Amino acid sequence: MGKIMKYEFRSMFRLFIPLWLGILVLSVVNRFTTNLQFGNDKLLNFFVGLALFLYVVGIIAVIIVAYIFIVLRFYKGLLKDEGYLTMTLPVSLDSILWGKALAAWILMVLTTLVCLVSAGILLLANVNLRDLAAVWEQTVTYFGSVQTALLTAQIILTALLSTLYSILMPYLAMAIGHLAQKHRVGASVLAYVIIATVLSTVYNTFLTPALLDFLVGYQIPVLSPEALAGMISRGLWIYLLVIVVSCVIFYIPTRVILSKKLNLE
Amino acid sequence: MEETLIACEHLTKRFGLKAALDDVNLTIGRGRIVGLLGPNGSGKTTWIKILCGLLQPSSGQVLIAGNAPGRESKSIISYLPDRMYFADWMVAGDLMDYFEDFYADFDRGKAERMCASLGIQKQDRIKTMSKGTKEKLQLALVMCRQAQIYLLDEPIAGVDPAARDFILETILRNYNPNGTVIISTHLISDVEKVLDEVIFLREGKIVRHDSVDNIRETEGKSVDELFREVFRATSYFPEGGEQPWERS
Repeated sequence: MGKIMKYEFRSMFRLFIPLWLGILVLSVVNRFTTNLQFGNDKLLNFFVGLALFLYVVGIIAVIIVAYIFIVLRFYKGLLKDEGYLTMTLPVSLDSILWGKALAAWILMVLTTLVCLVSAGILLLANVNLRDLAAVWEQTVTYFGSVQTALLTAQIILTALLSTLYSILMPYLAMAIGHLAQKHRVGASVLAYVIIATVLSTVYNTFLTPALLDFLVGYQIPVLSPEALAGMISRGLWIYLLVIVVSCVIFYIPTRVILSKKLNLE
Repeated sequence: MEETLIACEHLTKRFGLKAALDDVNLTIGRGRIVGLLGPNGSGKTTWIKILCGLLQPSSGQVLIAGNAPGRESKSIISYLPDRMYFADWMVAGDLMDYFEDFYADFDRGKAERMCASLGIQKQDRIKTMSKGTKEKLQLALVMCRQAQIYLLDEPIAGVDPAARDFILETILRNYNPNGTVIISTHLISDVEKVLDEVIFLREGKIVRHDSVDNIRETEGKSVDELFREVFRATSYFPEGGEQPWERS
């Protein structure tokens, strides 16, 4: 699996290291330009606005490019001509799939981190670090340090696992699309839309009421901080469980299709 | 070391209702150069893909050195598909790293020497190479493995006669003599001189599996002549009739 990841990284770092650096450079530029916008110079204001606009577009673009890149690496690497090499390597299918999925996951996490760091660079120009620390301390005193640590860990875990979820779901859609005799891309898109629709219906019917019951069903204002933290925490556990179960549900049929029904053109 | 390298038993592959392979039974031993011969659509590529693990048979089984297609079989098969399988972001050096990492039997030094003789530099992008160069590079990498089985799907189709000679020479000079080379093609006259045995496939069935010497002795004709006889297509004559003398 490590070897599969090695070549995933080689292909992605070629493209993404320059993109990440570009985002960081843009945020440094904006750090200084946003401080200039109090002037009355219209031309200067225009360029400050333009820099900020480019920055926001840049962040969105990098995230979209990363996602398209992940989908294409799977589609081209396994289901098109490159599949003739990938699928005849003396490596188990699990290694291939997880190697690709984990490399894709790391790409998404790193891209998110770059965006966070860049937002940090920008914010620190305008927000005092002490104010942020004060907000944090208030939260800790309100919930207690143990609960705050638990909630933080849960939120981070949720973010990390949701990222894996958003990678395995298109994998399944592409595997299902591969079952079509022709128009496989169209079939994959259709499969994606159907999976997304079915899942959101299921979530809205079952998950949301469950979460709302925990979060809102009780009278939040009269709850003690411990009880409130416990409730949020339980809600997050349920959410995490759903994500993990969904990932398993996405992975197993993907694997079955690719091992039993692979039919490269 | 097992003497039988490939054993197919009642191997069948259906696509919908159509049988691409129909109850194929055969065994192939070591140290052979085998021609897999048949017209387009006769099941050659399907058979090769099943051996490589790229397709699952509908029924029957195939054993490669005693194992069903899987990790073990993939590590001893060197496969040349009928298309380019390179990722276009790679440079030639990346590809060599890739083969070296995944195939224990890959001879890196040999690959570098072969690339040098083809005028391919390590830092050359795959994307900028000509089709002919890419094909040669792919063949070089496949033949730089000391594999037990070389599965070469149409290696000489669609290239000029000079390139055909280059390809056949590259195969003959570099294959592992303990292994077996299987060349699928419909261009028999070009490969006939290098083959030890031939398999004739027609509509998914084996119509003949014999040694070239035996064919020459018993039939008194070359493999190419026999192929033309076995696979003679009926031409369409606008005047009607299948034979010239039947025409009005």
